[in-house]
Amino acid sequence: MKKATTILKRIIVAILTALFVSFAAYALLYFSPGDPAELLLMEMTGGSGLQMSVVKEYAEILGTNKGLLPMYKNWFVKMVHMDLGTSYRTGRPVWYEFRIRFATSLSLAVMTSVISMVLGVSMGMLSAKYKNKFFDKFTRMLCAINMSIPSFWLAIVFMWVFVIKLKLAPMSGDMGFRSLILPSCVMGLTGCSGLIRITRIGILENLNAEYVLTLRAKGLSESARFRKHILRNISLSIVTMVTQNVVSLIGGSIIIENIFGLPGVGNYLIRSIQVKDFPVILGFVFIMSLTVVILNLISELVSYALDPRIRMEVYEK
Amino acid sequence: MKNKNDRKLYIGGTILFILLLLVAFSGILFGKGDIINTDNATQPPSMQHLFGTDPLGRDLLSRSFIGMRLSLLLGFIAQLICFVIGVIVGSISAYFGGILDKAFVFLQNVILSFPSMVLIFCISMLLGTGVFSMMVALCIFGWLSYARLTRSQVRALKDAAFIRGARAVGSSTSAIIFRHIVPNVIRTVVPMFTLMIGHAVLGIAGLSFLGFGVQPPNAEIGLMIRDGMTYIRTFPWLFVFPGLVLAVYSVLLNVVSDALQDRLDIHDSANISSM
Repeated sequence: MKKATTILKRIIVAILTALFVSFAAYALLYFSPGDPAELLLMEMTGGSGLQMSVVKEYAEILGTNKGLLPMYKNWFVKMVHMDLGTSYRTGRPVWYEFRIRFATSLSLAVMTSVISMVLGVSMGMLSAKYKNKFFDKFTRMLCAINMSIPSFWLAIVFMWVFVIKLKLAPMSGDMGFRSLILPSCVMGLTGCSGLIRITRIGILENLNAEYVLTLRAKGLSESARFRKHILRNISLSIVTMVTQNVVSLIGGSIIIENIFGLPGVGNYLIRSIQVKDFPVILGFVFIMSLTVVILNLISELVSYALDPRIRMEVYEK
Repeated sequence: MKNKNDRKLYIGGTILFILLLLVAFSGILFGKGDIINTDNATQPPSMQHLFGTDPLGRDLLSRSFIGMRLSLLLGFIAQLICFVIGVIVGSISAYFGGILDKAFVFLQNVILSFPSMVLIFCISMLLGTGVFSMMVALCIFGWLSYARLTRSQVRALKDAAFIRGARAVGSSTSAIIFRHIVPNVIRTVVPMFTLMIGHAVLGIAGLSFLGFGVQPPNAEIGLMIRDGMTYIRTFPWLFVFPGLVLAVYSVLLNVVSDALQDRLDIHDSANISSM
């Protein structure tokens, strides 16, 4: 019972956070210079000679002349009824716009996470196994360098090497799975150093722990010690870090999407921000931040499941 | 082990110091960076121009260092502001607890679940594209790391014997916070400062790359990489070398902050590396 209320409370706070974030983005843009009706008409007609009466009429149609809070209220009421409204710019439903782009962004995030997890955990394990040997030193040096390389630079260098010199991948644009390989490799590489580090440190700390000595005295084989005990102990920090990586990918892959010309959520959102397409901004930011808070919540729940100590701390207060 | 770490600190620190001097005097050493000479355009790297020249004939080596100077300066200022705000907010919210602390946690969650690029775009729509809105954006995200670290440190410290002692002899709350708690906490926060300058420099380059932040014709690494990207098929040195310069500085800042952390024996590394 107590467990259920704790989780329910968390979920409510998560939704409130997402609402607040989307409202903040909307308010910032509302007060920034430029009238949405004018910006949109400018984009449609491609330039000058707009008559004020036309702009006014268009603002009336869109409902952008109603003021900050009434507009938000309109959106909120619709949102509660599962309707995110339609985009000012394209006239299509916001949910549709989001869905077709989210597929790209999501597959990019998933591929990136898989690459960084496989690389990070396996290199971290090997690095711990060969502690202070050549492999370990080499990996650690690589990590230090990798953590400090700007990802957009790495993306361009990869593009130069693999697309232009070796001609292994398509240049840019949406060619399905093939065009996702290079960007996800770049981001996976950028994300794996942190994982290597915590895997390595986690294993080394646990190897010296007294309980491992006990297990050894008990006669448990090395692989059983490792699989059943050490790996379980470090899985917690790995899960937390992977979630954090995914969270940072949700808003942070915009640069990479841009370089590789991928039709992701970020690219579209930026174009909408530039013309103040409020329904799109509110809807996209709300869904994106909701994803972030829910992912964080899931990672917390996973850590309760994995670590009895945290479970005690939270539920028995 | 200890000695080895000291060696890392001294060697890394020395190289970083030399490179910082190089950057500080880049105006004198590489003053010729902005000279436009189209006869010299897009020269490949040579003895005369170690990094080659750009389409306007400007020397890329000097432009890289001049750009690095700007990034480091901006990064330093941004982090200094973040440092001050973060330490103050973190210690106050941890020391008083209650509703203040709850408000801080909520604010933290809001900022952390804000898609970072979206916030940056909104800010630059509001304040206009340029260095100022970039600095505001960097500060909005940056202070949080200091505040979180300070908060966790102060929470552990606030019931320590010497604090209770200070309270018993009647020190005022502000004296306890700023004279007793903050000096104890700062020791842990300083290595983070070095690390975060590295992050800020990368952030500045990223934002300028996207067109927010430093504007042309100023020399800036991110801008140079963006301009170089157009010539990816023909003149790769235009983006390869500026990026390398950036990477070298940021690696050194990382190494030094790592060594500082070990030196000060801070075990709370999870907190820092998670940023």
